Amino acid sequence: MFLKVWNFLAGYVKIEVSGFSVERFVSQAIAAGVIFWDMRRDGAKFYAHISRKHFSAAEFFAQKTGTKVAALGFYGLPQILTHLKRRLFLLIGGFLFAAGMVFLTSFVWRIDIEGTHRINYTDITAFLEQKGLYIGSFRYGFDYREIEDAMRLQFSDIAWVSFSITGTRAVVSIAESIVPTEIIDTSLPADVVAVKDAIIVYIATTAGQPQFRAGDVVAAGETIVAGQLVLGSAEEGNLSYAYTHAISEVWGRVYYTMDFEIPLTYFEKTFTNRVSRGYTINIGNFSFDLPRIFRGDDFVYYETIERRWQASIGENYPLPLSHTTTLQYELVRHLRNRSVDVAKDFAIEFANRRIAEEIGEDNEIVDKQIVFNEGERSLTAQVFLITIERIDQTQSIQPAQVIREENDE
Amino acid sequence: MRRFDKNGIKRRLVTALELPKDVTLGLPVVNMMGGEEIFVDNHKGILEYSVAHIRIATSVGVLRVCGEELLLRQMTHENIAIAGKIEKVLWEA
Repeated sequence: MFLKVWNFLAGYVKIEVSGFSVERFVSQAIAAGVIFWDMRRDGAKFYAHISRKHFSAAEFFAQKTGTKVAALGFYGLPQILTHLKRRLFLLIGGFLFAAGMVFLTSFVWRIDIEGTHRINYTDITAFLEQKGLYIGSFRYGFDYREIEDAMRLQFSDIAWVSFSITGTRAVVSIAESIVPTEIIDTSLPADVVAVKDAIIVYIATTAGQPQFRAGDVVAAGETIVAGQLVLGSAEEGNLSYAYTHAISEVWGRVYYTMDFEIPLTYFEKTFTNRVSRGYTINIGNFSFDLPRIFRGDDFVYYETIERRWQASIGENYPLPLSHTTTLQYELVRHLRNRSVDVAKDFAIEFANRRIAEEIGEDNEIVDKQIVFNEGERSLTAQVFLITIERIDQTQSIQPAQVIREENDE
Repeated sequence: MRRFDKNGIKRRLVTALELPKDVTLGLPVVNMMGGEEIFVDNHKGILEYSVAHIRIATSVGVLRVCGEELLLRQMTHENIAIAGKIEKVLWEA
């Protein structure tokens, strides 16, 4: 490999040797230091490569041994440079191209933000813009550690951040912190309220004055356990209040009703294989559409797929040149009928999906009933669901409320 | 009277001192890589070359390499590299 590169840089000649004493010519030439490679015999003729500087020596030994040496071609870098000397504008073009590439790769053309879940992407890009980093900004002169520190200070959810610019790509890798558990200050007065309408099935109070018992019906927002404790009585004239942070675990029977409607007809899509392609060229912030190859104006129904391609030198050097291909696939819609049984299956599937989303896995479902009503055009399904779930929520008693009540006393 | 053999003494001395013979006596070194390549060091030039056989002069005789589509891949005043389908390598008497 190295030898090939060296031969290319030094330049080499492909020669043809003919005559009666070719072997003698070769032996004398190599004894004088001429190096041959890729020698091949073809009948009476003999082909080989030698370096440019040895060509005159080869001619000398050819004359001495009575053979003939002919140069079939000159190759390598010196030959290319000789050609380029005659093509000045190509040389200038090449230089301008290289200069253009150096110029274009001096800017940030892509910002990748990895590892965010809670922190908003746009918040981070807005913050980076404040720091002078945006698409099209000069990529040199950033203090990576300073940006990382500033990000940690700005976003409390960031546990670790790494910022770097590789090529024309800025990469921000973030590890978000674990959501801190809410610290409840039990020294402040608070009530326990119901979060849902329910029938209480279990109540265990550690602190506070219970307002309901098991079997009672409670509405959402109602106080189940009060943080205000009534001391004495008005009749005896020693009525007073004390406040505490009510703590109670309350489970209730919650009733849900869900309605679903499944149409008994649907449209089946069939693609016609007619595709309309549109191209948009994006250069930096400027973009323009190329005329569509097949306009597809007569498409009544179609599905659109967009594909984006960005020019890039390797992975780390994206350039400000991209094109977006918009493909519109024409389709024909056929009206089809759906049987009641299939519609019921759909309804059950939708119901189960919604129950999983709304009820969650922690709550116990004690009863589930689905009532179907067949209509002309659709099937309606009503789901009645009973669950046992925790319904308590701590709600602070407003200080103003406490003070007012104390003043009333 | 016994003839003075300069080479014989040199050879015995090299053997006794365990010196490399290719360097001290200029003996050819032949290395083969499978049946595809053969490298000959310390040669004294090629005597004959065709696609079917190559004869190489050395200090201890002529080395003949026989095969098919033989190619002198590289040749300097110190070594020769031959590529091709090598079938036979033999010393000519």
